[in-house]
Amino acid sequence: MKNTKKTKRTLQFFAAWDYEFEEQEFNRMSEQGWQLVRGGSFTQKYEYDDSVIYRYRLDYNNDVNDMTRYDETFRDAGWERVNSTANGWHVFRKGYDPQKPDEAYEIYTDEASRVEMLKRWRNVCYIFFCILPINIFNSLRIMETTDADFIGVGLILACGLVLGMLIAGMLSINRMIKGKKNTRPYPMKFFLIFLFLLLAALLIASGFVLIQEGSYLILGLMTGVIIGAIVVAVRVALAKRK
Amino acid sequence: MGKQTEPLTESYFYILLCLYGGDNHGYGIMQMTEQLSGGRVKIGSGTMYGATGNMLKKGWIVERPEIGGERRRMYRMTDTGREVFLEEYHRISELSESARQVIENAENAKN
Repeated sequence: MKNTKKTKRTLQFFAAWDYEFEEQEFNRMSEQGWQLVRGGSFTQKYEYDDSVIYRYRLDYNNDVNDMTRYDETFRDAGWERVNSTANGWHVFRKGYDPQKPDEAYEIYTDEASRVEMLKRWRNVCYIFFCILPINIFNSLRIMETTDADFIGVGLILACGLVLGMLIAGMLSINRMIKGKKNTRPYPMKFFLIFLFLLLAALLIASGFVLIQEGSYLILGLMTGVIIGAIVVAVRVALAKRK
Repeated sequence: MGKQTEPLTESYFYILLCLYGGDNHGYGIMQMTEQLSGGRVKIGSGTMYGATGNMLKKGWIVERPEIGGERRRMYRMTDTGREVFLEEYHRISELSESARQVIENAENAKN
């Protein structure tokens, strides 16, 4: 059977610590008839169906060792898993019934488990913290061994920006752990896209320098990052077109 | 191993309580909890998955082997789980008894 449903792709950057905002955004779209069928940090896909309203919830769990048990636990309570991202976010939805109280649409119903979820996510930030110094070290090496100082400086700058974002994110998570509302102004979409492009450009430029220098190991690592960046960029471009 | 030193959260307490009388599935526990607490305590799916996952790891509960193609996964309390639950129950009873004594004495002194 041919799928004749109208679909729409959107380009919206959702910072992971803004997941509550993301949920509200999906709920708002659902009320307008656009039902999210695939969520992501950069692109989202919706299908038009105005016969139903869903409530969306995001769960972060990178430690799901039994996916059937996970799905069953949610499904039995009326939740349908829409999709999961590679890094461990899961999008759920449930048909909205205005008769039911708002608590019927909560997935974390006590403070201890909500904090556990936030801490799982904060641990991922710690891993990023460990990767960043390697990048800075590479940048310093480039500056040392080549004339292309501007690339090294640029890379360090970019690392600094990413570091800044990580710190902002972790402060945000810590605020949420303490039970305060997240009041960070939103969106920072354009700043983030700019940052992303800057990083990609610098990585490509430093790749050329490394070819000249003959550092193939670092080059290999960087190629991986660049390919990843291109994949995301193509997806973003596709999202813009539709 | 599996010993509990801190008080249980209400969700943990109710999950164990709901398994005390017999095996149950996640959704059954959610409904029973709401009913027992008169709607005050609700257990969401994220909380339920995390709590049951932790309890499975600690050996307080186990997944019951499937009997005749059940639709839902059943949980069963282990001896360790029973011990943890009863210990918590006695702790709470003691708290409640202490409070009752002090409150009654204070009321009597007033009259």
